[in-house]
Amino acid sequence: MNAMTARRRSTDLDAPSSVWLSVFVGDQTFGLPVLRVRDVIASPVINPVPLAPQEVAGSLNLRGRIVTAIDMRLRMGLPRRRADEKVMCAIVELGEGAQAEYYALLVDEVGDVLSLGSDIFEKSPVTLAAEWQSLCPGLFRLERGLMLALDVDAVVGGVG
Amino acid sequence: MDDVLREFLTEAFESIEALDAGLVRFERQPDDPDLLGEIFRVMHTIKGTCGFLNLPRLERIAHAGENVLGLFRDRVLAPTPASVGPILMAIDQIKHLLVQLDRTGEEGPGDDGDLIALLDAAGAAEPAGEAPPVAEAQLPSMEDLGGLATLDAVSEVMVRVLADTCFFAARASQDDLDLTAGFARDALAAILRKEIPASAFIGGIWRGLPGAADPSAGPAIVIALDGALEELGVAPDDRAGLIEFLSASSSSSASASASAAPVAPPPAAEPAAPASPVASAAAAPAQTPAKQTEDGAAASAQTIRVSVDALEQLMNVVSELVLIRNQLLQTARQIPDSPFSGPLQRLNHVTSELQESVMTTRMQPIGNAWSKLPRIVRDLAVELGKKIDLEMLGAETELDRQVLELIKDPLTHMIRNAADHGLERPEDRRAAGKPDTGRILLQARHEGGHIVVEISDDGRGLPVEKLRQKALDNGLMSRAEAEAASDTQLQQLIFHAGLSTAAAVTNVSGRGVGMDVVRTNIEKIGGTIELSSREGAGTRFTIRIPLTLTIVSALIVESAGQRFAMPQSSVLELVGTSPSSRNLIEHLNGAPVLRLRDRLLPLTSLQALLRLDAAGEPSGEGCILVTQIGAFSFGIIVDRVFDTEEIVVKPVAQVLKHIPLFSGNTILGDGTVIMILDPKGIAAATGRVDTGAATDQIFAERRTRAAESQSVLVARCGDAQWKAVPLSLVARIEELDAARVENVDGRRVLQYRGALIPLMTIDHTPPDIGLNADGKPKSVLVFENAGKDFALLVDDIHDIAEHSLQAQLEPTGPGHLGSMIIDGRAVDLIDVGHYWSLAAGKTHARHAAASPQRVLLIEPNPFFRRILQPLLASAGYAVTAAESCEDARSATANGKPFQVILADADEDIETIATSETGERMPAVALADTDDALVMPASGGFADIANKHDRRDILRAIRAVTPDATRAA
Repeated sequence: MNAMTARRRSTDLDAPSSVWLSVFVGDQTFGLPVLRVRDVIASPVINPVPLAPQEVAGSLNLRGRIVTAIDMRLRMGLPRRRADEKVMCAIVELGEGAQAEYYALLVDEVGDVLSLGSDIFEKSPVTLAAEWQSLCPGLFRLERGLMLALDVDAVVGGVG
Repeated sequence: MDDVLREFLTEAFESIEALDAGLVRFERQPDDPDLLGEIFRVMHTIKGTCGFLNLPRLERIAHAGENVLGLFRDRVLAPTPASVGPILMAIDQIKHLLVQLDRTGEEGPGDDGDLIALLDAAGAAEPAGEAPPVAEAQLPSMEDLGGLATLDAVSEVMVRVLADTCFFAARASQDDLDLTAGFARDALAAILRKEIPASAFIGGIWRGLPGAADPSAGPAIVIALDGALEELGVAPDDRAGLIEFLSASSSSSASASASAAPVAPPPAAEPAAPASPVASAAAAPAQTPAKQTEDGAAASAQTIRVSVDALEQLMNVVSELVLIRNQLLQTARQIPDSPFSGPLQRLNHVTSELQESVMTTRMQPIGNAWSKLPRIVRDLAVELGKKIDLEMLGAETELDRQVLELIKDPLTHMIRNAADHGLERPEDRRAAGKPDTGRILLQARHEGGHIVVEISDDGRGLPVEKLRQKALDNGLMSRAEAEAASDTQLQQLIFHAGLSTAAAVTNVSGRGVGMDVVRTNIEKIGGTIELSSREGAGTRFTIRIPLTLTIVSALIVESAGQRFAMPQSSVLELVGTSPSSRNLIEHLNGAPVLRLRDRLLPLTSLQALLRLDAAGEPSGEGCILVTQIGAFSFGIIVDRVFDTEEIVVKPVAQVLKHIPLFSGNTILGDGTVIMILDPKGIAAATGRVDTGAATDQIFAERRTRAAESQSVLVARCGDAQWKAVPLSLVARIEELDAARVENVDGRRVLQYRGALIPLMTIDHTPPDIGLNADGKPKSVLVFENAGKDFALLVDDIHDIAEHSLQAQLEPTGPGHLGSMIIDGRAVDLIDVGHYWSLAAGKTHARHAAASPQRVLLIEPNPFFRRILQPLLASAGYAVTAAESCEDARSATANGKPFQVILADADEDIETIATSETGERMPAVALADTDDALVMPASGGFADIANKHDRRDILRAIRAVTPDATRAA
């Protein structure tokens, strides 16, 4: 199982010729590896979880499955979302088989699915804040701007 | 590890486990060929497979073991403890190697020379002596017996005789008998032609007659046949030839046990109840081997192995389906006449059925957790030099796999305890007048969504005095506490970590290594464990565990607008609070507490604990979940309690696992995700986990409370005047409606349920029917007594406390029974009888004058004498009260006889129950509690009543004095 995860992780980052879902958080564009995305839903009902880390917005019911919602604004250290601002959910999967857990990443907007080549991939610049470095080891130079490639395991694993 | 090895390991583990139980039985019943065959087969399979897989160590051990077993099977060697011992050791070693193999994939280095030498030595032991050679009987020819026609008649007669005389045959239908008779004729003919062996004859008849499971049936058949031959006039010589032939070989037939006689005497009787699934299967040895093989083959064809993960996955999917179904149903309810309602109903049913089916696939008989126990008990018995019988009932009771895994260890531990500490040595047992063999009974049964497992032994019980001493020594109790503690309370101490882990204590107290761990483990899965023990007679543990952990019953509660689920198993009771009610939350330096009966309950607010934002002003209204975790009981303040719901428990996500207050989460019917509270985590978070023994006895307290005290209603009258009255005397409590109070005949009366009843005050002043100072109406206590009801006015009801009715101060005047301390307050006990007679007034006097039934009351407790005397008087009896029987004798000696005697159940009334004129007076025993409502053995009593229940007493008096009642 560990081997599987490791293999997956390697496709995320080291082999940049892959398919990505672009999402927008604050002013920034991020990329989620499409293979890890299970679902995209709009305006979910989120039930708060007391005592949870602040970036955990709560839990939601995805077709009978309990999914923990992580607010990407707070996770990335960006200003809190206003009540009237739109929110979208990208559901990602962590783990395998019976241990698999779903997490909902709360983002402002979900963009396109992009098939990107390794030629436009490069490591994140050293000047990027350390926290972001650990979550986004690399980025894609898109025509419209830069898209930071998110390490989903790091994003979820580092919560709390 | 390759698949072949994995497969081998799985199978080997399973068969070895089954063997363990089998071997112990085998040692006791070495003459069971089926069992021996099974053991031999397993050993043989292991040997064969190990050779194939190149596992030389396992192969050599199995080979040596198989040799010895082969000698048993061939009856060359008698299975004795000396020869079975090495076999058990061999199996242990095989198990050990299998575990190693499982872990490392290799057998590991090592030498089993000693063990193999031991096995070889066992095999080389003195042969058991050859079975006596079967006598060559002189078989008569068919013609000698009179041909086929005679055989036909003989068979019929024989079968009829069997049907008349043998229990097993009596249950056969006529068809069975006919078929069997036909078979018997053909078989006899074949035997005479020497075509089939004699054993086939008897075996066939067994098969033909249902329930012929009795090994003694063989001789019965031969005897019946002999009788039939004689009846039909077969010559004695010919008869003897056939019978000799049959009886000689019937003893060596495959299924008969008689041939084992030379090796070891057959057991006197089967154990009263089958010991385990394995045992019960083998307990029917008369099932012919052929039939068993068929059954076995059929059974294996009807089951398949499914991986546990696949089942878990299925369970998860079904849980989701259930939730979706709930959501659909909820939506559909809001739309009347929806075209979907029909199909939805069907979906509903199918889903429920599916859920149940999936649950059953996860169910396993509890016997699976017991399979190791006979072996453990056997080994302990040998080691400790004790004789122990382990009886297991209800092994087929099914429960969830997960729960099964979790109770395995606690159960094993407790059985070990019972064998080790509970049961005495044979000599001690003899001295105590018990049979040598100690008995451990393990019993499981379903009881309303729970499994109840009872473990009882007939050993020495828990030594209460030693426990008391230990509690003192360990500082668990103060001297006063220890002396006041009841036996039950002291026995509960074995669950106390401080007591049970100390080695020195264990030796003295007898039991309790890690009983606290056992309790913790059982409580972890929402179960409870209770204990009852009588010194010298034995100990019984009763464990209640939920059938499954996936679906639990939970209370849905709300705090600050958020809902949570609280597992119902840990909630003892719910207490509603509001500023106006008597359940008022008080604060000690900011810490909330609640007075609950005579206890102070520490409270914790869910809102504060979870740091929830209050939606509005705290209303002060709410609900307290009285929760108990192990020794600690506390209250959780919530805003609302909705209802109970069966919830599907789902684990919390990794990122939330660190929050100790939640044990899981779930989805409600409306789709909301809510957290499941973990009572343990909350108890820990309150930070006031009690270490003393004071709160350690909630259960014991609950049990003993009833015995030692009764409910007392405490009311306030005027300023700081506290009055108490036994709750059992109060019929109803009402708010006073001033508009219903009237003046009649110079007296205040209350319109109450269509009647007028006297309204009285405790101090006989004119009733003040105005409102209390706080603007709330006053309360009345309504007392009922056969049409002579009355109401007593009080300012308000303060509390209902559990308190023993022992007045600490003597009465000061009429209407006053004495004073006592309740909740730190001096409270006057009201003499209800006094007010009764006042209320009854003239009516009462007239009634009493018309027919004074004479009642003799014998009661040592002055308080009860004072309370019962006026009560009985108000009911129209002339009461003479006495403190004791001696005291009463003078009352009976002079004067008229009494119609009835009321006496404390402990009194011996024999001497006074007969009057001078020889008339026998009926007597009613007065018992202290409902629990003790058992007729005292001392005799002389015609009925028994609860001392605290006026109605019950009056009922009993009427019951025993039918004539007197008519006369009145």
